[in-house]
Amino acid sequence: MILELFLLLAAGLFSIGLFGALSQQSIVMIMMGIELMIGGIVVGAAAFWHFLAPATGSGQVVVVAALVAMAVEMAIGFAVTTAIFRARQVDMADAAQDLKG
Amino acid sequence: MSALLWLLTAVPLGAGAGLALAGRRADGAASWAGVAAAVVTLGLAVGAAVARPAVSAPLFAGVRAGLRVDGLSAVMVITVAAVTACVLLFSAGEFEESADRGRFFGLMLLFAGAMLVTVTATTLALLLMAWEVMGATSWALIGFRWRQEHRVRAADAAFLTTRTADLGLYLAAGAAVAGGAGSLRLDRLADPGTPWLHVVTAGVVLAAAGKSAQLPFSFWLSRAMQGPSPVSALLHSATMVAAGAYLLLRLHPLLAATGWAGPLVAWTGAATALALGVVAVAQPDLKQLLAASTCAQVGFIVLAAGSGGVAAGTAQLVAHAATKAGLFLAAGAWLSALGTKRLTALRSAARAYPVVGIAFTLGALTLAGLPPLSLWATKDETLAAAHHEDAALYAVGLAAAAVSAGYSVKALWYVLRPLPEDAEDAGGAGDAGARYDTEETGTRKVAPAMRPPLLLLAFAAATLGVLALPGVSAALADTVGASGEAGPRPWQFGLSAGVALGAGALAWWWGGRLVPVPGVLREWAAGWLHLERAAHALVVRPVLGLARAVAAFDDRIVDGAVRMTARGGLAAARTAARLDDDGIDALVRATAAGARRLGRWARRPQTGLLHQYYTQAAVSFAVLTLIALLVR
Repeated sequence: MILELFLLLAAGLFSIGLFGALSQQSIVMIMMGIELMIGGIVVGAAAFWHFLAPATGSGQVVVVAALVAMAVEMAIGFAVTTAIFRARQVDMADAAQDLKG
Repeated sequence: MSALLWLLTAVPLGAGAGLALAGRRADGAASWAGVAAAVVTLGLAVGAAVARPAVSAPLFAGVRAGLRVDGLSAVMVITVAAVTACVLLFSAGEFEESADRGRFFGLMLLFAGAMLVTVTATTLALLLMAWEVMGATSWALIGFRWRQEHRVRAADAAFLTTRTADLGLYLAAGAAVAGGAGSLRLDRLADPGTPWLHVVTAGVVLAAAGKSAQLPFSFWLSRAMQGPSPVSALLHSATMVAAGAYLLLRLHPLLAATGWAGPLVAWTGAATALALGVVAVAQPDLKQLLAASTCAQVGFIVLAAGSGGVAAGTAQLVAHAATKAGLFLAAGAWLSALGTKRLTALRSAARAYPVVGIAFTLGALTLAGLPPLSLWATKDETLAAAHHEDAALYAVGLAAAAVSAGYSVKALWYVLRPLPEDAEDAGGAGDAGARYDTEETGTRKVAPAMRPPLLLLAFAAATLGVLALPGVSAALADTVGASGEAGPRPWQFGLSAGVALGAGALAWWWGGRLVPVPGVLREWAAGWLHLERAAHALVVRPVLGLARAVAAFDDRIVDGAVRMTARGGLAAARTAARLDDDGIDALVRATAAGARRLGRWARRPQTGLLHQYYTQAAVSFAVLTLIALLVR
């Protein structure tokens, strides 16, 4: 069990998540891609904390903050997804171009 | 005493202004009010002539408005007032049917009042005012029947002619002020030094010649015949025409002070007397004949004034006033009764209307200068003054006297002789309707009010010769302040009587036949020597041409400069606008367009598609990372 393996896992998770976020059409799938990316970051952060500075607690705070961000993002994201689906029967990102300039 | 003099001018001017302003409303009472005012004025004039009052009032700074009745003025005011009263009484008869009497009598009284102020004024300023009022009212009176275009044109011609000559008085007044006679008193006008004295004199002579219709201004009197007959009677006898002669008599010291003015005036008078006498002979129209004879007879007064015979000139003026007023009234009576003033149509008119005929005959015999009637004697006085000056003047004057006998007797011949048996001679047709009513529709009667003034004036014309009797003559000379003038010698009386009788007899014998002279000459005389045409050619057309040239100058140069300035301003404005539009505005627009284009570019990544935003974010991060790696 070495740091490089965990970093590889984190990079893999992030890349898969990025690919998913960029390639998926469905909002839910995009959000899942984002979850994977954050998951990759959580893995990376935890691995850095565990292998490089296990004595300090600040690394754990970063992991907790990331988890909180994940949870809040999921809550808001699914709320928005549900609301937009109810309002417009839309579940694809391409069908909701409200941010077009 | 002074109230008398104020009243003398205020009564006719006030009554005249009142009547003229009241206009149609005063028509009913106008004639009798006018006659009453004239009679009151005559009474006041006699009173003023006896009392010799003098008044004065401030007018401008340094110039007073003075009125004074001295010897010459005393004679003039009585003449003017008496003739005015007679003429207005006659008009009351003539204007019986006509409307607009208020205006007529008002203007006549204003006219006579202005003449009274003229002859009593002691300063040039006041005289000039009255002089102008007289000119203006004469215009209104000549053009009295203003609905007829030709009468208005005649009034304009008469007014403009006298008005042009009037400028001389302004010149004289200006020169008098410049020369130091700032008070403009008539008796001080001769005071200025050499250069200004000549200007004053020239101005006065010009104005007097214009007003008196002397050569070369005579033609306006012909045009003035378009006025009603009473207007002619007043205008030709005691006022207007007499005003110029009066001015020369009054300002005689001025003529004497300059060497040239006296002979010039005398020769002008003599030439007018002769030339216009010939014109009178050639006239086919009674009123035109009388008008030309007025010029000629006033020429004798001017001749007297020019050769120093003030008393002689005054006597001639008075006698001529009475004679000519009567003659014009008689012609007017025939004109209103028969509707014509052509001599051939007036054949035997004196037989049809005996009262008028008697008056006319007396007047015409007087005008002819036959002894012992008045003009014979007074004319000899003027000729004696001329003889004292220059024998050639006397000869010309004597020739003029012969001509005056000729035209008077010619007029008399027509009105006295019975109609010829063959009707061809009498204007082409025998019956009265064709001969008469060429001017207006005659009434075929002479109103009763017309008779007394006619007879009165005829009587005065015949008897005023007493002015030339030795005792009376000396008294008159004393009155006008010109005692010691050379009176006529007995041989002169005899010679002129012989000339007048001879010429008159010749004219009577010659009758209505044409004078055997070339037609051009006859036409020239009948057309008043073509003076009006000459005035048109020499004055009117050049003045109009000059006016047109000046107008063109104004339009092209002055106005053109203004227009060019405006056009330049417009061009400059257009250039500035182009600069603004194509420069500043374009820059602003280009900036705006650039900003808009930038905005459009900035909006292009905003697709609204989430994954594209992610892509952009990912690419940006990648780039940032690359930069961080490379730059480090």
